[in-house]
Amino acid sequence: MTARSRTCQDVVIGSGAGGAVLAARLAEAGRDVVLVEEGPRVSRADFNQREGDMYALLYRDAGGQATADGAISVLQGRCLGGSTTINMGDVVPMEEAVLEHWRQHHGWASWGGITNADVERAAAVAQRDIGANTIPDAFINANNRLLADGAAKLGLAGGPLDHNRTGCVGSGYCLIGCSYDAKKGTLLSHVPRAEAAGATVWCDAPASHIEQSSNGRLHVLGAFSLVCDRVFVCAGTVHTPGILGRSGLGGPALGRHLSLQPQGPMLALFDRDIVLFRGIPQSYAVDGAIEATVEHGLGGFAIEGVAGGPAMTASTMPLPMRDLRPLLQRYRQSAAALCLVPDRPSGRVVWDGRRPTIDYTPTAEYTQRLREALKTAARIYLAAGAETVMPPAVDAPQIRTEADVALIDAMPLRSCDLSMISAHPQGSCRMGPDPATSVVGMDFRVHGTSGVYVCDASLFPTTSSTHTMVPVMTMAHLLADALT
Amino acid sequence: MLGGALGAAAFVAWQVQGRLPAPAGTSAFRPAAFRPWQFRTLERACQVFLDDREAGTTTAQVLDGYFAGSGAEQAADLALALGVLEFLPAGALSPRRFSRLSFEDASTVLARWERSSLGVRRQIAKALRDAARFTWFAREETWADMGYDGTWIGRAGSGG
Repeated sequence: MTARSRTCQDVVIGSGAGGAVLAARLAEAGRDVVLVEEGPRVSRADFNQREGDMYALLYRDAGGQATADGAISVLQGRCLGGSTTINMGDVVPMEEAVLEHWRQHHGWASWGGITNADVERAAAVAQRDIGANTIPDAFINANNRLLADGAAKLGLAGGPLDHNRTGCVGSGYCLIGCSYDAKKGTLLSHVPRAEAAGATVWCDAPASHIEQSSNGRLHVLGAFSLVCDRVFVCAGTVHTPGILGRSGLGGPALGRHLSLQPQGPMLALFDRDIVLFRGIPQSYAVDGAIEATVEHGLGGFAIEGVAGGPAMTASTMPLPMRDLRPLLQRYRQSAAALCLVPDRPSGRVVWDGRRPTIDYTPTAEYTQRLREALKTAARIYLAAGAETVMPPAVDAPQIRTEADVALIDAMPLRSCDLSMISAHPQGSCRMGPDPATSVVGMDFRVHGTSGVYVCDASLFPTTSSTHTMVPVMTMAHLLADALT
Repeated sequence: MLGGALGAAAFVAWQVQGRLPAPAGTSAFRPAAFRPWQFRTLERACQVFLDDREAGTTTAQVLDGYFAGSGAEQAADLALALGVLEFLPAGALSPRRFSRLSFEDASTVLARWERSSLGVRRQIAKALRDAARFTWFAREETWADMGYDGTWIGRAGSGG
């Protein structure tokens, strides 16, 4: 097969929340754009709702990407639309205190004249583009309703999440592609806009590296060859540092300052059918304990409903089969939540040329907040009438009364003890003024380059939000505003 | 560093042991992604993690097919992991091979690896456990026991 090649003005690597927005905005401004996506071109016709097919088709490493010690599954999309094709559709913009934290503690004070009002406006555009709206009460399924009811009994603050679905039928397969075109990820929003404005989209097109030619133009090489004026690397927190590293770019901070925002699961059994696998999987958040401060950025914790199909459910519970089997037989009576605990950067992505290694060790402070979150989740489920609550972990306590909740204090929380999930990796190419401690300058350009930009979640100095789709889209709009 | 040392040990063992005949009574399945001894390691691990010999064998065969096809990019990593498990199941001083352990002893080894202080062991155990269980419970035949009523594609009123 002949490798695809051509000359253009702008190359965008990655079609997720950053890349697709940029491709659309640049093409609409009249630029000659090529958008390259490592994964396949997919559409609703491909989404057959079978986990065995869909994780292999849509996810990085078929959903098997994990930290080096195997403790945390790092879930990322690898298909047209990137992670916006396989996410929960949650819409949570950055809080002003987080931006102020970056301004005061991470050198963003002189962020190219960008004000908080600019960020707010860009976030509003991002939300409008994807049809953001608050999940109607009627769409909160029984699994999420338990969180709402339990939290209300305990006086804990929470509410329905905002999302990007319209016309949802409640099938429950959001994590493996929406068969009904209800979830408006970039697959349905910005990729079509980019193509309508004349952009070329190449799928099954992994990018390897970038070379600077003697005439000042850039060569983007991979399963293709492109010559261009500007490159926008939007390949995500794990793979953007790989592309930069292979290009000899990035400096000493490349891959460092990684946040994973790991989420710990909690399971509860009820005396009636909950059928957690139907309806919108994540529609309600108990988020009163989330803290956003200028001093520390995002902290605290939130508890959100979650559901997976039978295969994902079975494979994320690290129990011996003799303990797992009876739990699976009560799949319909099960409720599940994720304890979402924003972390401080404590990890690193290292590339050996072929595959990334994700080194990550949670801090003691993180683990303590996770423990508090697990205890709160247990109390919520007990208040909602659960028979038994348990973190799905080896030798985990069976919590049946308020007195049992204290058992979580004694529960080992080493990285091997609880299956953790990261859906929001951030920060491996952080933005900042100092090339010694950051990869990307305040104008989104990689330090020391004139035409290589980064625009994805790798930019964030610390965790930006409890859900990263809209923050990344916001950054893409701010960059597009500056360039067009 | 430790992972590299274990990997090197496994690679050497792979070169030396790779052509040994299968023990009597083991599967006659001809793997496509892995060498026969690697497949036997995978098969034994799947049997343990599913607590079911037949299910484990079936699952290992499905996984072999996956890694011979669309998962080929990851096959080398898994092959290395299988080498570490096969030749160092109980540490560098033990001569025992994982696939020749009794079911009970293999279960004990993997239970220890899941909670090992060595990240490499935890990673290998988790990868094999998750792959075995994901693959088995993605099969429609397992859904009825869980009360899962299958996909919505084509259902009346589902919009699909």
